[in-house]
Order: sequence, then C-alpha cells, then structure tokens
Amino acid sequence: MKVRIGHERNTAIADLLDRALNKGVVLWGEATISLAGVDLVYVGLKVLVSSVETAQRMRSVHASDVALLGRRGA
Amino acid sequence: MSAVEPRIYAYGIVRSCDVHDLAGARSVHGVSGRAVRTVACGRLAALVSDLPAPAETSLDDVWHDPDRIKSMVLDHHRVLQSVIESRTVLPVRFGAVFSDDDGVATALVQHRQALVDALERVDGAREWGVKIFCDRDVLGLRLKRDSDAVRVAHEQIEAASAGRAFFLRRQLEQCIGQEIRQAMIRCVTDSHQRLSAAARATATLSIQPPAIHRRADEMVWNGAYLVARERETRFFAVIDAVRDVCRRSGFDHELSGPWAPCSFADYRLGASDDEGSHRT
Repeated sequence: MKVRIGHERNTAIADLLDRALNKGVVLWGEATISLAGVDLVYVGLKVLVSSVETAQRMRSVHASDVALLGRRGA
Repeated sequence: MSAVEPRIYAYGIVRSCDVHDLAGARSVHGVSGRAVRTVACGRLAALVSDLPAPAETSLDDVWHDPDRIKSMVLDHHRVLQSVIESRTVLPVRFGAVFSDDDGVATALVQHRQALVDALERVDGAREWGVKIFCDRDVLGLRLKRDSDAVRVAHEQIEAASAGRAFFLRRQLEQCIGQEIRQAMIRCVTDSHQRLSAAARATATLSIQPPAIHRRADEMVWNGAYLVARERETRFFAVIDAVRDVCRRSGFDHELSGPWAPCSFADYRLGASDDEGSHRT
C-alpha cells in the first residue's frame, strides 16, 4: 500500500503526538503502574514547540483543558 | 503509588489468532530498543515490550524528559504502524506500563468484552487524517468575482462619494467576512459528508494552530476517517474529487495516513470504579 503522507515532518509529529497522547484505549488494570497523565501531554507539547512564546501559549491552552493542540483562537 | 516496579510497556491489542502473522511487528524494536512480543489471553493478545530495569531509568524521569518521550512516542507509533500493514490493532494510549505479564493478562481478562467489541469496530479498517486549509486571499478574490453581494458592494463603492465610500467599504469588509465564513462551512460540510459516505466512522480532531502546522493558510478542518481496506481506493477518489472542486476557492485537502485507528479507540477502561488516568 502506497503511503500518501504528503506533509511536512513537523505536522506529521503533531498528528502523531495528538493520536498517541490523546487517543487510543486507556487500559487501567490492577497491575497498571503508570498511564500517560496530563503532565505528559505538556511534555509532548514541549517536544513540538521549541520557542518559549509558543510553549507558553500552549500551556494556557492546556490549562483550559482543551484537547492537545487546542482550537485556534478567534 | 505502587511498591511494584514497572516492567512491561503496552502498545496495542490484537486478536490471538493474528499473533502468528505479526512477523512485521516483531522485527520492529519497541521503546528503548527492546524486542516486541505478545502476551496472549484467550481471544486477545497485547503487544508489549520490556522496559529497562528501574535502576537504569526511573519512569518518573522518563515522563519528564521531552527527548525520551519523543523517541518513545516514535517507537510506539512504529510498532503500531508495523501491525496495520496486515492486521487489525486496537491502539493503547501512549504510556501504559504494567508490572509484569500477568498484570497485562489480567487487564485483558478484566476488560475482555469491551476490548473484543472495540476491536470488532475497527476490524479490517485503518485511520486516515484529512485536514482542510483555506487561503483567505484566494477565497476572497474568488468571492469578489462569484458572489453577487460582494460584486454589487464593489460597484457601489466605485460610484459613491468619498465619505459614503468609506462607510460602504466597512460594510463590504463585513460582507466578505461573512461570505468567507459561509464558504468555509460549505467546503468543510460538503467534504466531510462525501468522505463520511466512504468511511465506516469519523472523528473530529483538534484544529492545529499555525505554530504547529506552519502553513501560511488557515486550518479549517481536521478530521479522522476509519476506512475499510477494500474501500481505501474509493476514499482516495473522493478526496481527489473534493479537492478538485474546492481548490479554485482557495481550499487544500491534506491527507495523512494510514494510521492505526487511534481516534476510534478512545475508551477509558478503569480498574474498578476508578476510571481516571493515573501516573505514579
């Protein structure tokens, strides 16, 4: 199957983080030691956005409990 | 939180009967370079790999290290990708660590029915991402030519006195803003309807800010589509068709995938009545 990803690496990482950190089954069992927590989402964002300014904007989006990458501001 | 030290990292759930056909997944290394293996229990099996001994790296350090996380997320992704080449996998959210194989098996037993049902829903299908971007300048020019309201307003401005033209110009800006908004809604609605018809299920993803997508145009839609393998060709044809229709108005459809069906496996299966996500 030909893969049709036609976008920049940066966007691909954003898509990947959104899916890996925000989606998928959260499987909690008696022996579960650790599950991706809220802090982890922020670490993911730090990976994504290097500039301080953008990271701060992301943090405020995160604080308002919007999904990983947030909705675009009006 | 627990006296037991973490050991096993989980990627996803597959059907036991598919385990023998997962040679691709086993050839890919998991997080920290460890081999990927399966823990089977009845009809279900979990794709897992061992984590380095806690003495080498504490999990808490790992969760706070952006570079480690990035490489682990990529490993997690690579393992899931290797499975969807040939088989169905129900992706587990990044960061699930179990104390031992028995713990993984117990979780499979505990949530057996929910996992079987969830696997059934994504069976034989893969996720494709579609983003729609809009170039407002191109759309604005297009509307200037095609929209009666916008064209009439332009003509009125040209014929008006300076003072009245100022007022009319402000009115025109509002009018164009509204028309642009309506055109965006039309494009997104039409595209989504046609894509949905070719998909088994759809999910709405977060619009990414420009700092993330780094494009000059504006992201107006970000959706995920669960598409059965045998319908993929049809799905691509629909993408091409909607792209052709909308391109003239400044829209661009960007396809990504195939992905493991992460956006269609968004379940929280708690230990008992405790459904929240936890970390140590």
